Order: sequence, then C-alpha cells, then structure tokens
Amino acid sequence: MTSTDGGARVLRPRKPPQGDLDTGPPPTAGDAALVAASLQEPELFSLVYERHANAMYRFAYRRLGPDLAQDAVSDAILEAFRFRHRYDQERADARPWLLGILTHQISQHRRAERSRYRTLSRAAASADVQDTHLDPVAGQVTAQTVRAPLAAALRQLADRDRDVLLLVAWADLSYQEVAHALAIPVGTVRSRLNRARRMLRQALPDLHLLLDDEESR
Amino acid sequence: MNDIDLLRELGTDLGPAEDTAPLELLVRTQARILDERPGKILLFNGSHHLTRGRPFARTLTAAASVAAVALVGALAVGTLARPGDDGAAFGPGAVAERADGSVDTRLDAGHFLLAAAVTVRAHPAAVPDPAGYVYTRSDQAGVDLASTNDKHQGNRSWTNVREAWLSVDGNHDSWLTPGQSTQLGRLRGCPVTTRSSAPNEEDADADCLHQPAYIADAPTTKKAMLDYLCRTTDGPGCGTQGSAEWNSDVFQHGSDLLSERVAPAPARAAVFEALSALPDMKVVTNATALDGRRGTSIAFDDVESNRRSEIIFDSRTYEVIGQRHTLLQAEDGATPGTVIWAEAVIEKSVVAQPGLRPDGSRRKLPCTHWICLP
Repeated sequence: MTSTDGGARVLRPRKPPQGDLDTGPPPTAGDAALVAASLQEPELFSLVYERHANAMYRFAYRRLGPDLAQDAVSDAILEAFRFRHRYDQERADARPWLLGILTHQISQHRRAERSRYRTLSRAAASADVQDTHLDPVAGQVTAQTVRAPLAAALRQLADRDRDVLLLVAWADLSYQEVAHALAIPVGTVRSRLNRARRMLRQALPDLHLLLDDEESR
Repeated sequence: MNDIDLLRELGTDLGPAEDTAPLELLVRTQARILDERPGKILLFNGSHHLTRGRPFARTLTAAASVAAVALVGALAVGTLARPGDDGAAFGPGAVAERADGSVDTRLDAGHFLLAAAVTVRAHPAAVPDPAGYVYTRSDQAGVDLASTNDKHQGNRSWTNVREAWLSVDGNHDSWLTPGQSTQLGRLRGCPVTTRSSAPNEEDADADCLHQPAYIADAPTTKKAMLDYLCRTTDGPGCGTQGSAEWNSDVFQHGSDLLSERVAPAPARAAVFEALSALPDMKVVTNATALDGRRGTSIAFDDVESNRRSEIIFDSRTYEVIGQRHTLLQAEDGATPGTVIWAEAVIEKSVVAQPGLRPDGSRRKLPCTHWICLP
C-alpha cells in the first residue's frame, strides 16, 4: 500500500503474509536478503532502492544537474531491478552496486557532465572572488576560491579516472567498494585515483600551502 | 584540507538543496519497476505476422497489445483488426488469458498524478506557431456490443485511424475524423476579430467555436482547471461538483486536453492536479496502448455507464500514449475487463497547414462551401 505521510518513502510494498507462512525477510533485513527475496516478490526491491535513492540522487545531481540526475537514477534503479539476479549475495550493502550501475548510466551523459563542469568553471572564473586562490579573509584555500580550476580539472580528467575520483569524494566509497562498484581490481582503483589527484593538484598550484596533505608535501 | 576535501566541498555546493530524492523520482521509478513485473502479460498464441514491419523492440509488446484488444474476440464478440495490419484476424488465434492492467493497489493515484504534475511543470514545452496546426494521429479499435434484443445482429468490431489538424490559435478551421468515421470533418474556427465569447464557449454571432489547440491561457491551478475542464463542453453550471456526471466529464476532458491539445507546462500540470481531485482514481500498471507501448494508466470507474476509462501515460515523461475503456461488469455477453475501445496516440506534432503530415505527405481536405470554390 501507499504511504500518505508525505515523506520520501512514498511507495511501500505490500506487507508480506503474516503468521507461520511468513518466510519473507523482516523489514530490517540487509540489502542482500532483500535483493534475493525480490526475485520472488519483486515489490521488495523498492525497499532496497528506497534506502539508497537519496545517496544516488545526490551523486547524480552533482555530476549531471537536476533534470538528467532524475533520469539517470531512475534508469539505474530499473537496470538494477532487471539484473538483480546477478547481485553478489556476499555483499551486504547494495550501495556500491547501485552506485556502480548509476555511474554507468551517468556515462551515457558524458557530454552533459563535461558541459556542466565547463559552465561551472567559467562562471566561477568570472566571479570577483576568483581573483586569488586564497580566501582573502581566512588566507586559506577553499572550494569556493578554487572552484574554477577545480571544475576545469574535473572536466579534463579521463572519464574512468573521474568516475573513481568522484565515487571516493562524492559518494564516500572506500577503495574496495569502488572496485566492487566498477568491477575492477583495487590496484586499478588506486592507480586511477592517484592519476586523477595528480591532475587535480597540477590544476591547483596553491595546494602546496596546505600542511595536512601528506601527498603534496 | 587536501584536494579530496576541496572536491567534497565543491560536491556539497553542487548538490541539491534538499537532501532527499524528489517524490516524483520515486513514484516514477516505482511505476517503471511495476511495469517490469513478470506475469502480467497476456499469453499470446496468435499469428505472429501481425507484427510484421514493426521495429524489433516493439514486436513483443505489440503482440501483447494485439492480444489485449483481441480478448474481445476471444469472447466471441467478433474479430478486431488493427489498422494497417492488412486485415489479418487476430481474434480467434489469440488466447487472452487475462487482460493486462489490473489495478495495482500499491500505487496511490493521487501520488502518481501529483508526481506527474511536478515532472510536467519542470519541463516546459516550446510554444507552437499560432498559425500552425497540432497534428495528431491515433489508431483506434473497438467493439459495439449488441444489445440483448439485437443478438441476431451480433457485436460489431471496428478499427479506425483518427487524424486531427487542430488550429493552434483557434482562429482557423480545424479538421478531424470524428468518432468511427474515416472522413474528415471540419470545425469552423473563430477569427479573433469575430469572437465575442470566452474561449471554448460558443460564439452565437460567429457561428463557430473557438477551440485553440494551444491553450495559452489555460488555468494553472487545480481549482481553476477543474472549473475549466467542466466548462469545456458543458458551459457554465455544468452540474454539481462531485456528482458522477461531473467527475466523468472532468476526467474525459482532462484526457482530451492532454492527448490532442497543447498547453503550457503549468497548465498541463494543473490538469494532473485536477484529475487527482477525482474520487476513487486508480493506478493501473503495465497498461498497454493499442500499438503495444506499455505505460502506467490512471483509471476512472463510471459505474453508471459500466465503463472503466483509462488514460495511459509513458511512465517516464507522462505523455499520453493511449486511452481505453473496459467493462466493469458483464454486459451483453462480454465479461468484466473486456476492452471495448482502445486508442494509441501514434504521432503528435505541429505542422504548418491542415492536411499536411509531419512526414511531408498530405491528406486532401474535402471541399466545402468555404474552400474549393474559385
């Protein structure tokens, strides 16, 4: 039935049958159990993606903007539903899996993503605050003060390097989770991430002023 | 602070204002997933050549749709042939175990419609050329059930291709094939200079009806749209709000506006909001339009006329892809759920002249005393 509480979790699946015959997963079941159960009761899949829809949306929104983000997330969830039988039951958390599929959907909009970064870098470069990379008040490097070169660097990264970098920075995935999401070895994650960060630093010359970045010292 | 931290800050700046995914995203995705569920498609044992010439991707769904309409045939009410399918009979060969599109109680029609309103409002459409025409081609099929007294005549099935060229600004004549007719009829447009009445109200002086295809000034709020939809054909005082007749009219007029006319995004959104005000609306997932496309429909039951009316939407864009009517109760030998009328909106576009199709071909307009005379 449908919730009417007006919250984000609008659509809820039917309750599983109660009593002795109820072999369905409890509401607190992990993602793996729910994905497995959804093979028999497809509506249970909504419990999985409702858990992660917010994170998916935020990730896609940052990369694509509001309109394409909705399409990408919806397409990704549908794709996940279609291929849920391939879900690795060893993985308790479906978030990396869903974000991996979402990353693939985002890759269908590469041009739009790059365009978003280009627009951002131009807008930021024309702003007065961009006269210096150092925050004039705090004397520190902030995202606000380096928006233009940061966005420009993101645009120039190789697509696969950007995917890894942003899964780490914007989706908070660990290296292992990124490897799982993109179906690549952890070593490849590390090398792509290193390459991406090196590019970023080259675009942000003031970073050498930062004391707590062990890799830039 | 290092480069990753800076990137995280940038991500925060670029992120959405709200931390939660939009309501319409969840509803739309849910509807698409429900469309994917197995087990709701008809069994089809018909002649596969019916789908000949169609794109491969649409073949299976076309077969399902063919069977959807053919369930009428399976009920021995005759044979339906889809327009353009060289008359091949698919009634007797099709085994329609069950119609697709049973009401899905897990989706709330109000939420679905409000999500549609939000989505539509966020995607403004281009304003058409006022001198142009909104061209719509719809494939239709139906069956006229014979009454008990006329059983010897049997039920009559029919198909039709409806074409309509509706004047964008309403100042020019519009042309369409009404009902089951294959002949073009004319709706006399009202030039602005002769119009003295409000839009959609008969202008006695000009003997015409100002019905622009592009309703630029359509209401943009739910309440105003409800009034507008009621007034569209019945004029002011079109019945008691909330009565069965009023509900039915609002549903039908809202459906017509969405399918064959064009309105600014806020007005189209208001139509969805207006429909959400009707009582006992239902959502039907896995609904199949006549041409095989699947979508999500909203259903309105008119108990008095024993009909369930459905508007079938593309589950992503909320564009109307078809309509259909099914029986609520058994009637004249046909069982509940029988599809008695179905339509698919095949093409909708703005063209420069009446009779001109988007592909450049032309349909000759019939002569009237207004045209064809030297």
